[in-house]
Order: sequence, then C-alpha cells, then structure tokens
Amino acid sequence: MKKKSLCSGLLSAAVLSLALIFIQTADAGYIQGTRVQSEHPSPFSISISPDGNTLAVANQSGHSVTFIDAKSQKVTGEVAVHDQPESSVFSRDGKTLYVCNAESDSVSVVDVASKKETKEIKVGDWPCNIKLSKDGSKAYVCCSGNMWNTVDVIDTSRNERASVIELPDYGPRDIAISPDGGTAACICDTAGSINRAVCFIDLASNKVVDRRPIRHSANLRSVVYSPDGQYVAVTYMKPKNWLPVCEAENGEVFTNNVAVIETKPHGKLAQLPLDELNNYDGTPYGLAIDPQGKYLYIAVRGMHRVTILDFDKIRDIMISNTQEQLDSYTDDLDFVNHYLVQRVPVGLGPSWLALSPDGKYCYVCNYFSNNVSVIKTPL
Amino acid sequence: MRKTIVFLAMAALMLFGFTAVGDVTAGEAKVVATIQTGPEWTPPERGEPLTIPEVHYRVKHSPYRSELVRSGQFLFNDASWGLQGEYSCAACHYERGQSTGLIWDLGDEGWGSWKNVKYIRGGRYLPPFRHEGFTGHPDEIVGATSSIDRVCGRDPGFVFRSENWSADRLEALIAYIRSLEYTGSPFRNADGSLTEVQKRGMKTFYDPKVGCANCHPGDPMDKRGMFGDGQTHDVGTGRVGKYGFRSTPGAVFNTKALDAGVDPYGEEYDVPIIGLDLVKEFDTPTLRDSYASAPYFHDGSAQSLIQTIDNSATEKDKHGVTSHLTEQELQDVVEFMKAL
Repeated sequence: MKKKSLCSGLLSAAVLSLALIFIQTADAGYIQGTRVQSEHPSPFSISISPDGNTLAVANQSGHSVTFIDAKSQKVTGEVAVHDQPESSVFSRDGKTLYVCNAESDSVSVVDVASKKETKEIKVGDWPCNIKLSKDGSKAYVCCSGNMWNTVDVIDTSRNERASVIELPDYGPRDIAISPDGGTAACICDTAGSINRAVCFIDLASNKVVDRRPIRHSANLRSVVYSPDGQYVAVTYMKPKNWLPVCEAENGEVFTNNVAVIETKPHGKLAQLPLDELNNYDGTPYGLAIDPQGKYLYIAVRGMHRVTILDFDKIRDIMISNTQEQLDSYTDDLDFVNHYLVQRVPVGLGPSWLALSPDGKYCYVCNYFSNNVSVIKTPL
Repeated sequence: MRKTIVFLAMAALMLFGFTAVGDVTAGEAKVVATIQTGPEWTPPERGEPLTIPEVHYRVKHSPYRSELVRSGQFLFNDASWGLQGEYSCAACHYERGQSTGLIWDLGDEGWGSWKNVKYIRGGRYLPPFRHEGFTGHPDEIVGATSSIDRVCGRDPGFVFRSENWSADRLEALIAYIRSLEYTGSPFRNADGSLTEVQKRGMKTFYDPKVGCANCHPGDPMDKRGMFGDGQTHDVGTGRVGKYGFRSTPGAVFNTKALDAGVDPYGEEYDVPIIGLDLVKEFDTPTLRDSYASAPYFHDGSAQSLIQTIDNSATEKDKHGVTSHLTEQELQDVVEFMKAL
C-alpha cells in the first residue's frame, strides 16, 4: 500500500512537473528570427493612450503586450498576442489596442479593460507598424516584407481588413498621418535600392500622390509629421557603398541621419547628420515630436541613448538654406551641433519611444534591458 | 494712484516676462524613472581579446543556450564596439537577420569586387558560406562568414575597425547567427500547399531540359529541402575583364555605365556598380526564403527573381537553359521560387 502510494505520488509529481514545464514553454516566446525560447520579453515598441494614462509595450520575444499605468509607473497587466509583436496603437477612446504581430502576419484586437485579445485580423507579410486615421475609423498597417508593397487598411468599426493601398516601392516600414488627416507619409525600406523613398498617400483615394527619394539611404525606420504638417522627419542610415570600404574616411561606412522633408510639392529635403566625430548615433530608430513641434526625439538602438534635436533650429535651417546648401551639410560631422540639444543615455537597445500628450515625458522601451526609461523632457 | 497703477503694471509685465522666459528656456532632459517589465539583464563582459588571427580560431559548436543566443543578439545589434559607434551587424543584415540588399567592396577578395550582402537566416544549413564558397567548415568562425574575421578586427579591421573580440563574445555572436531560421514563404496557400501557378512553375523548374534542379535540388513540401547543392558553379555571372580576370586591384569597370556615359563612382547611379571578380564560379545559394533575399547573384546584379532566369543578368543559358521558355513559363518559375 505504502509502495503504491509512493509510486502514485512520484508519478503525480512527475506529471505535475511536466505539465508545469509545458505550461511555461508553451507560453514562452522566442528570440527574434530563431526558435530559441527566452524568458526575456524584449520590449520593442511603446504606445500611449490618448488620455496619456496607459502605456502599452509590445514585447517582441515575449509575444505579448505589457500595460503600464503612466501615473503610478507600475505594470498593470500583460496580454498574450501572437508571434513577434512589433507595434501597437490605441483607439481614439482608449478602449481598444491594435497590435501588429510581425511574424504571424496579423493584427490583434485587444480589449484594454479586460486585457484580452478579442480578434485576430490577417494582413499582409510582416506587419511592423500601425497608425490610426485622424477620426479613428481606420487603422493603416505597414506590411514590410521584402517582396511586399502594401499598406493594409482596417475598418475599426468592424475590425476587418477593408482595403489595400498599393505602393510603388517594397518594404513599407512606418507610416505617419498628417495633422489634417488628409495625407499619409509612408517610408519604404526597399531592399537593394540605394535611394529609398517616402511615399505620400492621399487618404481619400488611397493613391500615392508623391514619391520623394532620399539619396543614398537605407534602413529607413521611422517617420513623423511636424504638428504644422509642413515637414516630415525620417530616421535612416546612409551607406557609403560606392567606395571600397578602405577609402571610407574615419571608418564611416555608414553614417546616421535624419531626413527632413518639406511636404509641399517639390519641397526641399535635408539629410541632416546625427553623428559627431568619434561619437556616431549608430542605428537610429523610433522618432517622436512634441505637440508644440519644438523637440524631436530619436531612439538610437545601437548606442543605447535618446538623441534630442531642436526642431525650431532645424526649421530655421530648412527656411534659410537652398537645396544645394542643404546637400552640402549631409556629411559634415560638426553640423549636428547646430540643432543637437542633448544625448540622454537610457537602457540597452532603445527601439521606439512615445511622448505624453503634453510632451513633457518621453517613454523609451529598452529591448535588451527589459525596461522602460521615463525621460523628463526639456519642455 | 497713477504711480501705483504703473508700478503694478510694470510688476505684472516683469512677472509675465520671467514666466515666458521660463517657458521657452530648455531645461535639461533626464531619466527620472525606470520601469522594469522583465528580468534585469546585462551584456557579456568584453573579456580578453583574442590575439591570434581568428581565421585560425574555431569556436566550438555550442548548443543554442537561450542566454548565449540572446547575448549574441545583443552584440549583433550593438554599435558601441565599433570605432565610433557608427553601425552594427544589423545595419547590413537587419535586426531580422535578413538583408538590406546593398552591395559592398569589402576587400576580402581584393579591392574592386563588389559583393551582395548575404541573407543569413538559415545560413547554418548550407555551407559553404561565402559567395565564392571559400569557407566551408560549419564550425569556422561565423563560418557564415570568415568575414567576421575582418569584422572583428583581423588585419586592419576595415569594416568595424574595432579591437579583436574575446572568445566568449565570438561564441555568443556565432550562436545567434547560427540559430537564425528561415522565415517561410508568405506566398503559399493558407494550408501550406502550393497554388496552381506555383505548381506549374514547379513542373518547369524540375524539367531536366531547363535544369534548375540540377544545382537547386529539393522538395518544396520537405522543410529540410535546401534547394542548393553546396557546390560552386560558373553560371555566367563572373565579371571578366578584357584581359581575363581582375588584375588591377581597385580598378572598377562597369561597361554598361561607362557606355551610357555615367560616372561609375557618381552618386546619381541607382544600379549596383559591378567590379571584376577573382573567380567565375560562385556558391550555389539556397532558394529557401528567396522571396526575401533580393537582390540576387554574388554582386546583386539581378534586382528581381525574374532577372535571375531571363538571361538579362547572365550569359545566355548558363544559369539554367531558359531561353526557349515563354514569358508566362518564366513567371511561373518565379512564383514557384517565391513559395520556397
């Protein structure tokens, strides 16, 4: 009898342990691009509710979204989504969160109150960014697969894919909606091209109305409109691959820039350096601009910091210089001092950031540190 | 009374003025809080750098321990170990392990020989790894690249210009690169089967008269099907100079550009500049994930899949015998390749 009890006890313990292991591994995500499981959530992007009270952090390796109360700065919950979430956006009433699951090719619809996924919407290849229309009735999803050239449009009243915007270039990576809601600027990171472009889309007709190539550009990562709608800013890297690398001065095989483009037809385009000699901004990533249009914030993923630029000064540079003069500043490693405000060290691998509605706080998710840095901005 | 009003007005103005100045003067930005959402993590120590040329150093084939792979992922994305923090591995291979599709003259086969950035997902499955197939041993440093030798600072370290790495950090980076998996095609039916067009393309692909499967064998329904033979072949993409292979290091010849009157060093040119090659046989790449690995061939001379088989980027009928195929048949083969 004792033996039997012992055996059944051991058996139960073994089954329980196996079940626990199964539960843990079934819920665990994996490291990007691999099937190696990881306990690290790897926060990749962050969005903020319209009232500024809730933060949603998309965990790329965790395959989940973590909610944070912005006032108390406490984690309030986590919801499992699908593989490799890379971006999210709140609905205008803050009750729903839309999450791009890059590797599952889908968008999760999450009820914020109950913290549950209510629907999964299939979209194109590798959805990596999502933005809402001004009235909140549509969500625009960048499907960034190397051989994909669409922005999928989700009708948020039915939560269904309603239409598809075709682009002339592959790899749409991020999209920004103009302040008046009439136009979108979509950056296309087309593999193989050395002059990657921003496509301007008329949102009434869903047609591309303008295409602005950025000369010698790669790794376009983020785009924002200035609050007055007169400019868009784009983070990207500039490859110097027309030279043998031994001829690239100071090892500047890549430089790191922000492109500022006048949105009016045939407007000027400045390729402004973020680098200084011996202090480059390797791999600039997410962008944000405050509601007053005063400061531009750039998460620098490779150098673990946030670079803050004075957008008023950038605007002055745009107005007071000809296109030819602007072109001459592109490789000037002193030029950043004209508009650099500060470089703020944060955690490891900051990828995306979000500003509070008043622009006074900047929330930065640090991929490798598994945390969010809260920056009090200069405002 | 009047004096009092003037005094009050001036005081109000001064107060307003000071407030306004306070509003526009930039304060210093600073991190005021950190919200931990997962385990705290620190990167691997820099360690003692290797002093022997890495090409002679072999990293053991470590199991894909999660922490090791994650450390490698960090190093892959970290720019701070370069000379000035200019860029990381992910600048060329993307944080997804894919490719920017840029071509570079890295000097690894002598100057003047531009090479297409390799798509490195699934790279461990099909050595050799370099375009020329020079690196064959799967446990060789990043085998997927003896170029990591240079990346990590062998010779002058042309690329990153950093110090040599320690064995631990190399092991982590290699573990990450080796653990990258193919993404799988988004172009198949939802149940993973081939579409009708893809099936038509498959028939042509396996036609012995066309010959694609001679060097790219595989079964599309078998996840282990690599669609590569691990050999090198001359498929008419080697750029041979007037007097044979490249003899002048650094000399760049782009006959099409020169004929068209374009300065091959000019910044206006939107097509890869083609250098001259050291050899004319190149490693057969896998066709898995070929939908995501454009441009194609060792020098990126085919911008799209159709250009790999329509004889526009190769000598006629040297990369498969395809000149007798109709446009539709060629397009079907492209659709089949996109499904792999």
